Formats: sequence, structure tokens, C-alpha cells
Amino acid sequence: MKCREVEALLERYLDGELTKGQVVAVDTHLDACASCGDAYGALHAYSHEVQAGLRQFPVAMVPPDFDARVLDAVLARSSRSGSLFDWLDGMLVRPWCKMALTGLLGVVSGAALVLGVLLVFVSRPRPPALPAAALMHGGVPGLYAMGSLQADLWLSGVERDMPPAEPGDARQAQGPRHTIHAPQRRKEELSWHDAPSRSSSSLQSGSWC
Amino acid sequence: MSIALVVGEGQTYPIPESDGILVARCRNGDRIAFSTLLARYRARIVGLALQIVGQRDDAEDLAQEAFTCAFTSLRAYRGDAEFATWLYRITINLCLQHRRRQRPSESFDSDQAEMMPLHGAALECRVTDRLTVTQTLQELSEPLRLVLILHEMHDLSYDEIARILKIPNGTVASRLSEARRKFRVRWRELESEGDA
Repeated sequence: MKCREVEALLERYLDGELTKGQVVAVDTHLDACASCGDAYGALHAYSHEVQAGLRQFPVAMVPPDFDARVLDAVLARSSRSGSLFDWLDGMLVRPWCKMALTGLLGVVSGAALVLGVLLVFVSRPRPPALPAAALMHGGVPGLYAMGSLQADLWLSGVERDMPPAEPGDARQAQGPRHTIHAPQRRKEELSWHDAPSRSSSSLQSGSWC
Repeated sequence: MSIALVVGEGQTYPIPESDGILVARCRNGDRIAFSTLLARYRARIVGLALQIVGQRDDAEDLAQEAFTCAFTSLRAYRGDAEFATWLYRITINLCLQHRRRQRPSESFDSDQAEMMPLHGAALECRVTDRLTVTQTLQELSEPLRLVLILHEMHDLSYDEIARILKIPNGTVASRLSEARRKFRVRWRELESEGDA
């Protein structure tokens, strides 16, 4: 064993915290190495000084009525035996019961989370479903393919389902969050139809959420 | 109740019952077992509380509360740790909670230096020493103080301290080393101030 290794173990050696094998190795080294022997002597004196200092700490005196006070307190607290808390204390000691309770809490938390998410989605204003034909033509752009009349009908449904906007509503002031951009070419193609002027603006600025 | 006896050279010696057996008897409402456990640990627990909080009255109340908590929740004691470890942990937690609630200026009480009655010329010297050691101990940080108290004043091993404080064995060793060093430096400073 090298000096550095012994120095690292000296405090544990002093405290009796080494294994038998380590003690033998340190003993052998200390017998042979004068510098480590000196280091051990210094550490021993140092530790003895600390212990001597700590022995000056006042000894605690247990008051004569201590046992009686503890017994009274225990009896007073045990008098609620049979209560719900007592039953819970007893149940929670059992591992299976603790696991079951944890699982139940997890399920309840999960259900509450799912319910909350569902409520948010249900309460949110939603556009009416796209006509099946439009879906077949690729969603909203399919409306343009079907002609402006179909688009007008669908967008009027969106406006009907939306909550009425208050004057000065931030939503109005900021404009729509999503704008349906018709392909320019299709809009030009559609412009000769007898669609009212609102239709093209609705198509460009129709808000759907 | 059965008491084991050892017979040797015509004499009988009662073998002290283990904590585990006494705890089992306490659970069945055996007051003798309760008193035996209390007698076995009361001095150590009151001392530990005093060493941590530094005030005699608080220490007595906290020790009483620790025993009350331990005995009323014996059903929650699963026997994973020894009863002594569990009791020490309860006491330390209560004392640390108490220290956090109180103001720092209240954590040191010079009255406790006179707890143990002294007589004669040694009185003044001993009281000064006690004040010095109490102050030195209180000035250490909480983790260092706890390790130093448990090892040097309660003769607990590194493993026992590690189980009580729920820290690794190596952490106990390093904290103890640092606590000794800081205690020695401060102790010497205060002693030299006292001499001057």
C-alpha cells in the first residue's frame, strides 16, 4: 500500500471503519513508514482534541416526569383509535394497499385530464363539415373547384356558427387568424359567375376558427 | 412476557430484550415494553435534541414529541431500519423543523450551560467551557453539525449515520472530516479569546 492510499484511509482507520484486511495493510505500512506514522500521530491528537472539546457539552438531564408526560401524550393521541385517520394509517402500511391507492390516483388523474381536454374541444366553435364532394376534391380548395355557390353556402354556415363579434373586438381588429387563400387562377376563373361581391372577399378573409 | 436468562457460575443475568421484540410487544399494548424502550433511549434522545436545538426546554418538548410520534405510529414502523435509527430520524426531523421555524438569534441559549449542577471552584471554568463548545457547535453548518454530533457524541458508526441521515457512507466520512477541522479551528479561536 502506498503512502497516498494510507493517508486517505487514516481517518477511517482512526474511527474503526476499515475492514480487517485494510486494517492489517495500514498497520503494516505504519510500522514501516515513519512519515505516515507521524501523520497518524498528528491526526490522533487532532481527533482527541475535538473529542475533548465536545465532552464539555452539557449533559442533558431528563426531567423526572418525562416518562409520565410521554405516556400521557401517547394515550391522548391513541384515544382517536378507530377513526378514519387511524384506519388510513393502518392501511397505508401495507405495500399492496399503497400500490393500489397510487394506481387509483393515477387513473383518476388521467380521467380528469382527458375530460378536461374533451371539454375544451367541445366548447370550442367549430366550422360545419365540408361537403362530401369538397372533401373528395381535396378539402377547402375543393370548394373552389365546385364553384362559388357551394363556397358561399359553406362559408355562410361558418359565419352563422361563429359567436357574434362585439364592436371593437380584438379578433376583428387583428383580422382573421386563418385566411383561406383561393388559388389566384381559380378565383379569376370564378369571377365571371354571378356570385355576389361578398363571396370573393369571404373566400379571402373567411375566418374559421 | 418471557425474559431470557443466562446461567453461569451460579448467577443469572437477564438478557436485555432486543428492540424488535420490545416493539412487537408495544404494538400489543404492553406498557412494560413501552417503559423499557423509553428508559433505553430517553437520555440519548433528550441529549440529541439539546445538541441540535441548543435550548433545554425546547429539547425536552421535542424529545417528548419524538417518543410520542414513534409510539403512536408503531404500526407504520416496518422494521426496515432498526428502531434506534428510526427514533433518531424522527428526532432529527422534529429538531430541524423546529430550528427552521425559530429565528436564528433564538437558537443559542446560554442557560443550558448550567443544566448540570456543578459545585466548587470548577464551576466558572466549566460553564465557560460549555458555553464555548455550545457556541462552536452551533456555528457549524447543519449537515456538519449533525454528523459530528452523531459520531462523536453518540458513538454511531458511519453506516448508522448514513442510514439515519439517508446519505452515502462516503458523504458521512467527508462531512465528518470537515466538521472536525472546522470545529477544531473555531474551538481554538474561542478558547484563545477566552484566555485573552
